[in-house]
Amino acid sequence: MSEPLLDIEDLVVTYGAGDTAKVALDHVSLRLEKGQFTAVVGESGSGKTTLANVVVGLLPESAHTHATTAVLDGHGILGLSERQWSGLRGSTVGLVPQDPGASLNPVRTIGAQLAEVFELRNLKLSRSEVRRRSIELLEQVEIDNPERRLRQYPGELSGGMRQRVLIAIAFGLNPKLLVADEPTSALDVTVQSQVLRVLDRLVAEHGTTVLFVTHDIGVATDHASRIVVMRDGRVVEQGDVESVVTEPRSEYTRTLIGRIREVTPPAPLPTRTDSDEVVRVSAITKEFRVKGRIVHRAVDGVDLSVRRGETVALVGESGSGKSTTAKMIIGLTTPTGGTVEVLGRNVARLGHRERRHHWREVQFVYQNPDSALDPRWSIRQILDEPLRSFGIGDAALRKQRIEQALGSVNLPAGSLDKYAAELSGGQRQRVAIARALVVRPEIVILDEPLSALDVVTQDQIIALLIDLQRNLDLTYLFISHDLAVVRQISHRVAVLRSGRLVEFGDTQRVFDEPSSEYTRNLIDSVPGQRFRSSLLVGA
Amino acid sequence: MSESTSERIVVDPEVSEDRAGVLGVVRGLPLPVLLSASLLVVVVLWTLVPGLFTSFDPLTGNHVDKFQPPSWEHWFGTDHLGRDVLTRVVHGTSQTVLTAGIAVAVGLVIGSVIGILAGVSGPVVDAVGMRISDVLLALPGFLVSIWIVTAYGAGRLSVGIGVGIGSIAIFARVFRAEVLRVRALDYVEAAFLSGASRWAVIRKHILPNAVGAVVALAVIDLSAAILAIAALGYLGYSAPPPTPEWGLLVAEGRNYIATAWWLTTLPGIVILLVIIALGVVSRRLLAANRI
Repeated sequence: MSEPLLDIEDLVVTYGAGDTAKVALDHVSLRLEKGQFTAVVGESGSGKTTLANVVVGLLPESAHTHATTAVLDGHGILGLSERQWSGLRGSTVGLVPQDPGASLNPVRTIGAQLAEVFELRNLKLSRSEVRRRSIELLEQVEIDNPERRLRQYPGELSGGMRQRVLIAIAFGLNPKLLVADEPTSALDVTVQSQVLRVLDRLVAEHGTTVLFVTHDIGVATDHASRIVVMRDGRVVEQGDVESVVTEPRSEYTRTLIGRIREVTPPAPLPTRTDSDEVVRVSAITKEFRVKGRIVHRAVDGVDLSVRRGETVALVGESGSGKSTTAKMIIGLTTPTGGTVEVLGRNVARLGHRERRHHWREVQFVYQNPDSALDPRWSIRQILDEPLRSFGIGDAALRKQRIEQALGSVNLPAGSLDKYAAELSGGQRQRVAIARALVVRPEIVILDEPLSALDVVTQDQIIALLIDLQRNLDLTYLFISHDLAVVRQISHRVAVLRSGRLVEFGDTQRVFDEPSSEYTRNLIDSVPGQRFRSSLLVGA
Repeated sequence: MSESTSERIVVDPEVSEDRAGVLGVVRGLPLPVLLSASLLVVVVLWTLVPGLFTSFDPLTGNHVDKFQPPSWEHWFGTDHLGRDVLTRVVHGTSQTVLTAGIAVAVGLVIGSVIGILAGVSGPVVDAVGMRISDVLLALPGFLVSIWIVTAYGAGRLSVGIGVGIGSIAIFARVFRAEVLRVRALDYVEAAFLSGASRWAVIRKHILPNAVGAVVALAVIDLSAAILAIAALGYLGYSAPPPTPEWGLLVAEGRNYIATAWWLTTLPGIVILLVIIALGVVSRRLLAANRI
């Protein structure tokens, strides 16, 4: 075995001191051989970012570290001064940060920020030589028209391009170890796959060792040769990628792997008559006035229908108009053109009284349960509000309905007197679902209801939603960017791209033989392709 | 379906504190906050029952005892008429603090009304409200108070209103900003979708969640008002001389500063400490509201 580039043994990191101290890493050991691509997988709070920060020396001052060994390329890395770290950073260890929006200086051009790379390496190059090498760096990360990009500011580039510039900067210093902390989690899937392809190629060309931090096991298995699964500050398991995928040793890893396994979507409901269409959207458009006369068309001629008792998924990348479409269906936004008909009523023409009636039948669940529940209200008050406002029942009946709704989302009756802050993210999302259900609506619009939750909780909420649909004969309009989830839950899928409907059909058909190039591309960009076929055999 | 370990219950320290009773809260506070809060309690007592703290008369003194330096009998010494300075500080509290209270009340009430209306109404009311606050911001506050006191006399009410006008705009702005922040949150939209009327959403969701910052601002503003009133008193724009008032005390001592340092210094320190205490307490309030 060759000498490891990074060797950490029994690393303990705690934040704060005394009673409030929080253990972020609990006896973690990690060895990186030269040239290995290692992915650290874990949900938020698992300590994966703390681990990355130890390696690049970016821990906050409130952190206390202790380890039996912590050696990076022959240097001990605990208790180094800032000056010693700047000797290591760049040449020995480089970082690709998480948020490409916040990691480039917005008031300096791309060219100026790339030129810093050569200054740091003390190369004393002429101006034209710096320019030539900067263009070379941008070409390496496949940015088109590099001469022009050098003069542009970060704000003029897209997120994917900014992330590629950051990768170019990191590789410009040619570090032995590259630490990438969730480099693509702010990007759409198609952009993510392009960026990661560039990263893969550069890593292979330079022979760089990589420590790749991600929450997405699919991304990890697609690119890494070794996988470290973390949870609650501990390493749950580690090993080479094949053995982790095919024979996961822990229950937790098995749940994560379940995500990339191909699932059979629910069979489409038998086609019934047209009267079963509870939502009928025809040719709706929504225009926003941007600056003065410039008009931005967020939704452009979308036709949709949702039948009673089915789940229709609305899929698209950010800016595709899926949330705007949902807001028009529930009647919070009026369409510029076209009609939205819900349960036989034209939503745009509802009077005040009818609109309240409409909201009794169509309810909404928000993406982020933290902001969807009033922090000053107890769960009982939150669930009571819709009943009171709609004037449903007397006190006794309301109490019964609240308890029923709480029971249907599997929360204990004891949670009624708690406040949102006392519940976990998953429990909060259950309360939000209960609030939508307490008025017994026919249709529930779910706007990315899982994206703020970790994988284990996501699985529980998906199971809950499927259960509820079966028992209460609910109709769901499910908005998501996560195709793996969509495949699990929806009968039909509508794919939106920059406001236009590019595809609408039964889930199985759309996934197997998409009719548009864009959908094909979207499906192929979903992480976790590498082991999908072998998992099918194993399953 | 069973709850897995990842769904553990997160107990918010703030919330549990609310439940633990007064003693628990007091024990959990850092020392500066405790000291500041106790000083403020003392100031409130000075305002309500000044007689409990001193046995001297604030208005008449003994000529024999004039210009006594601080001692066990006269903690803050005596002034040029032989009056006990501590007694005058204690009795002056009500003049200064109550006037400051009126000032804050004027700013808080009028500012809140403008701010809330601007925050919850449409763009026209918002523009009108904000232009009114622009006008108020453009006026130099101290000059306005001097003008009002000169025109309407140095009564508690006119000094209070004069100082309070300056803070209307700030209250209006902060309240509007908070209302707009809360209004954009999902739970407000969810309340509308739950069938709640506009007024119910404003009253039950928006105002309770927006008011925290305004309360903290009121505490900060109280210290600014005390300072402004003391400054007015120093310049002579307050109750006429025999009445004790903090700014007036400092002003009177000015004539004898070379021989009797305690006349200006000790009342000045009291003003300073009260203002610092208000700052510390308001910062704690802000933190508790997570702003």
